[in-house]
Amino acid sequence: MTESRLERPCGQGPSKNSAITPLGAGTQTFFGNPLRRADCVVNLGSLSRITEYVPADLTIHVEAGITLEELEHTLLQNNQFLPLDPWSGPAATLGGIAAANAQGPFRAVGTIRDWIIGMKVVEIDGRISKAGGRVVKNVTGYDLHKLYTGSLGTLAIIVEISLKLRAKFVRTATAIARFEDFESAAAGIAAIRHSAVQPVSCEWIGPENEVWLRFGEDPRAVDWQLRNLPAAEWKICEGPDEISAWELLRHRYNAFGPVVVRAIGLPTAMREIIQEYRPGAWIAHALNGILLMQIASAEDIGRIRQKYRAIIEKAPLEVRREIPTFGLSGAEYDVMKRMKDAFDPEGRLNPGRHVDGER
Amino acid sequence: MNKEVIGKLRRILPSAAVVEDETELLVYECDGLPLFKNRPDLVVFPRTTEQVAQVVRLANEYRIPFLPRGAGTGLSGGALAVEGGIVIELQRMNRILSIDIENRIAVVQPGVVNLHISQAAAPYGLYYAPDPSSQMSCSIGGNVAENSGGPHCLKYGMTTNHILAIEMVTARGEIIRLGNPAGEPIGLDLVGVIVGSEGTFGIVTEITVRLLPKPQAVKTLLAAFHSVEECSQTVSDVIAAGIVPSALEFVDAKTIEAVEASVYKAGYPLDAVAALLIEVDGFREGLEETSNAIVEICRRNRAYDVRVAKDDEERAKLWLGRKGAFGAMGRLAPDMITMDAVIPRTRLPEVLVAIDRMSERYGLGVANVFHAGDGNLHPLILFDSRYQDQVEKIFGMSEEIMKLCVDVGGSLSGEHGIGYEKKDFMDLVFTEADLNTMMRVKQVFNPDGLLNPAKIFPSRRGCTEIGKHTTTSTAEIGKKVEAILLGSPQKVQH
Amino acid sequence: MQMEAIIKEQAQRPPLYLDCIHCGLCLSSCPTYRVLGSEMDSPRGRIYLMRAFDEGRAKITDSFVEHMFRCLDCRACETACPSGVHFGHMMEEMRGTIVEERPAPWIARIVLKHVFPYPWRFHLASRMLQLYRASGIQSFVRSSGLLHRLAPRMARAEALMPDIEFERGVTLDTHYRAEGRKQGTVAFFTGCVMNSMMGPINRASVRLLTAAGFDVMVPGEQICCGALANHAGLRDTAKGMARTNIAAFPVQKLDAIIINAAGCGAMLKEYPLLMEGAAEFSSKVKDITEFLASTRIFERLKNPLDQRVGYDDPCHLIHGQGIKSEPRKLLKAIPGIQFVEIEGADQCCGSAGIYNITQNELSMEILDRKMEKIQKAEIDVLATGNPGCIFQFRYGAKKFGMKLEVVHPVELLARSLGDSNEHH
Repeated sequence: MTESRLERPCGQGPSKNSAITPLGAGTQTFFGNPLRRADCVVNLGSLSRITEYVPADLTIHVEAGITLEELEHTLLQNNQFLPLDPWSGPAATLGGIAAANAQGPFRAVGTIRDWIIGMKVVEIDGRISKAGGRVVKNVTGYDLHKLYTGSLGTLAIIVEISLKLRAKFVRTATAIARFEDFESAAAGIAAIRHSAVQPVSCEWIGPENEVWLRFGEDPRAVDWQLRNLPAAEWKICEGPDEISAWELLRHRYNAFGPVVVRAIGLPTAMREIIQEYRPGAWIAHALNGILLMQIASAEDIGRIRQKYRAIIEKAPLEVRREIPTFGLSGAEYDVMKRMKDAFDPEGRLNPGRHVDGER
Repeated sequence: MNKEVIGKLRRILPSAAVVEDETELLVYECDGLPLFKNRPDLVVFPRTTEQVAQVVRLANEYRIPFLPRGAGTGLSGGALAVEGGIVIELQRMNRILSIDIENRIAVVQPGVVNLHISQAAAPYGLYYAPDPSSQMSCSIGGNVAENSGGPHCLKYGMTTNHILAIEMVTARGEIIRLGNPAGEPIGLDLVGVIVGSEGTFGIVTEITVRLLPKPQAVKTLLAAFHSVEECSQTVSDVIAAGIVPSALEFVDAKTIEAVEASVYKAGYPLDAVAALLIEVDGFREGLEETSNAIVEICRRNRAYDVRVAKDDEERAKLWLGRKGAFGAMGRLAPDMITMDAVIPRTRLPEVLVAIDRMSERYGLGVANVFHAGDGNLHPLILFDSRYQDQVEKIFGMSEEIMKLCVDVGGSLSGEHGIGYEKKDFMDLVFTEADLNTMMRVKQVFNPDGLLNPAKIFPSRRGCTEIGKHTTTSTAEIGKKVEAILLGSPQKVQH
Repeated sequence: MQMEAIIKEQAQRPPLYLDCIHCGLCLSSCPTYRVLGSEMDSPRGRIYLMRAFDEGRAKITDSFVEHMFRCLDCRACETACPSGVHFGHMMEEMRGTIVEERPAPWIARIVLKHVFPYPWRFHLASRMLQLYRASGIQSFVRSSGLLHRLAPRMARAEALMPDIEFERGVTLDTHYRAEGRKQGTVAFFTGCVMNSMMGPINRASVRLLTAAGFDVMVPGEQICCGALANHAGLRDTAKGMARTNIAAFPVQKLDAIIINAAGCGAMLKEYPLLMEGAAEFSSKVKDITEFLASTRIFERLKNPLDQRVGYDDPCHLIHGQGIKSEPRKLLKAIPGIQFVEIEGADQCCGSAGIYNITQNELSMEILDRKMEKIQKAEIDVLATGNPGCIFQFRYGAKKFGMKLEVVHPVELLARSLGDSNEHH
């Protein structure tokens, strides 16, 4: 890496009280509590190499600034992939996806945290430390990469990530159905839950009453599942059609706004949450108990939080100034705050963006 | 132990739930790794979270070290009372509190036996996926502490991928609840970092686990080879073919000898130099083809016998043999130490050869039975602890194995944890800075170091040495961050 | 003197405890560990203590004795153990050592503390005392001064036990002829409890054997198998009984020696562990279900029984002798029967010889868990092949207010016997 690869928007360079903001592709800037200060932005976009890739081991080691697109491109040459499709799109960097724990509908196993096997970070005092390792299974030392994932760069700056991979699905297919009304869509979702199919994405989209199911893996298993879907008028998309369909859904989601929350509840609670809070538009990862809702007003966040945990996915700055993103409280908040203090006692890494901005 | 403390404990717990008798304490001097022993001062048997919290608060008041213990099947000395103190035995907290069939979750107490969760969920077509070989005895609380694996984590992930929420008594005796039934982290992923913290962050008293639907169909194969190389090449080829087996297990001749002499006799081929137990599961459709593809790969690598289990009974037998393998080593030697290390899958053949040479050099028998699919080695070193020279050799040999595995890009433990056994090897994989950061995180949870002391970190770096987070001059910090980010790529290398 | 003998014995073979590598796979198979969750009440913990004693790190203290005698000796751990640890044998040896080192008072203490104050246990104890007379523990119990204290109340206790059957069993020194074509000759081991308190079971057993085509002889010189003495640590008493029994049976003339009590069967099969020269005798010993399952008895099961029947594995049958499928196969062969598999059928019921007296609370907790599972199975009849278990379950059914008939499998089989249709 040479200096030319590193952008330095702040002219002065860091000084003793500088607040430091790590930045990837900038696809998640609307997420989190508002930054209190940003004296120096450290742009990791140019820290983007693949340091090691051993396809036979199904592992890859990358610098944080690599984009998902570049990564998938390399992996594809070996018929491998990382089963993630964050709403932020393929331009997001791996470091950014990890820092924001960014996610999308693709949940073959889980989210980015389930694929990260090791991490190297730069801490506020400048030293480099790592956690995890380079092998797919490892319980050596504390899983600090779990802590860094989703910490929005407030504990340390993620500079390298080791990931495990999987073989590309031999076949994927997506089944889309539009139901007549809310109740029949809800019944459709319940029928899927009770059926034998195991989609890697199961989206309940409203107010259009659509249900989207993605299947992947063995071609015969995919076919069997398509044949055994609960009764509905399913439209099957494959190949380029399938890719563009999901691309379209991503754009639809990105058009949600201005206030979007991620409510978390049991899968069986999705219907009740939608009915109770009447979002203008929603996408539910219906088998995971995660519901993305476009809500009418910021006051609704408080109402939702009386009964459910909810994260503000996106909201105008003035809303985020008023209402904390994560809604942390009690002992949980205390531990997280102590964690932040242990890593960054002076509050210089992304000040206010995460737990330290919750109160 | 201070009579006052015992008196106070007996006000928290029934008298019989506080054990101070020397004979009784004797059996608590070690866990599944009897190589290291130290007798605790007391063992207590709480039945409720509140009792655990009260015991912890009392231990804090009198500055007595304490640690949780489950079934004591751990293999890294994680439940060893290194500095004496109070062992908090959680085996009486062994109720399955609820099973939510619709949402596929179960809420259990830490003393519940791993296998009992799957048994309880079985009538609903569900099961709990992580299946350590000790699953018929080990407790889910212990699994959470160690982030236990098992053969099937190749496809389904480790314990950490299946724990959604926990209730925990903190090191100072506060009861906190973390996570949620959707398993979606809100704020920092504290559950993620607590799972696998080996009982040094808190005492987990209630656990919400994910249940999975039982696969429609399962196929289990046993392939026998005349050479270790062909056997390990098969492992690589199966993975390279893009197949995701649910398990891919390696057993060598010594293991086969021991298993076949035991009650877990599985019909493993006695003339094989090495054999693979391979399992694929999922939808019935396509499974036959996948299984055939594996048979083909085995044959290509000169497997001389490939068998597909014809029914559930044969399948169960093959697995019981695998899971009883560690225990069966008692047939070959009075003592055995189960090593646990991970290497990149591709380095299997060379590492196995090197371990074989080491075994000759040390004059100690080694049996190999391990999770080949994810490169998780388990060399089982056989010895007799009645001979001190053999015990010393064990230490030498295990260190050499660790170094070897780290040298090829591996790690110290795939599923058993560092515990007491491997803490002095931590320097092999982590720098001073890495360990300091981990220590700082430990301090957040366990500020006084009373909870499960002297584990994970190298001995020279005792808990007292950590001190406060050291702040160098702020100017220096900035400079360093800059230097690193502008520095040469080599500096960012491992 | 005794120490010398022990040392000599140790020198001859490596100590059995070395087979245990402390893996813990036995833990959840152990009924006392499942209830108590304490390591010293687990097979692994007990072995650890035995080893510690042998190495001079532990002494035979009150608590040591307590944990050794809290073991049910059910041997479920042997079925779970991958290393093939001979737990039952070790436990018997250990108990023998305890009895040698600390004679008598411990049992008196246990009985006084746990039996005397409780009427029901007292009933049971008095019933069991009848057994002791035959079992050879009597002289030992007497030496402890216990009988002296118990005796005045014993008669009263006897009177309070109306539900115990006292029907005659089979007659000693009798030769029962095979029905139809003779397939061979077996000898019948009557067992002390079976023949005195559960006579019908013995009669049913002999009836089935003759129906299967076997001549049945009942040697008159046979005495108690010695299991209770052995479990209690009275090794010499047990050895003497084994010697008498071996002499009583004309082994070479027999196809098998049949026993219908699982506890006795396991003991008879393990005489070789106790003494030399028992191998031939023991190799002929067969549990009644083990033996019947290989005969033509199936064609004789004609009378339909329209009942839901469950089966519980006696520990000394499933763990002690590895017999699991045979009794099930026989019961399922009865026409009209609805066989129900009970969850945890292979787990101990808590009876375990005199355990329900000496460790009453624990025994009752183990029984409670068992009865809950039996209730869930919704059965009319429970079959199990050991007298102690039959007593325990009958008590359990009463305690839970269940309408449940508890029988030995042979009783059901005998009910189903049609008339012989062989007339040649």
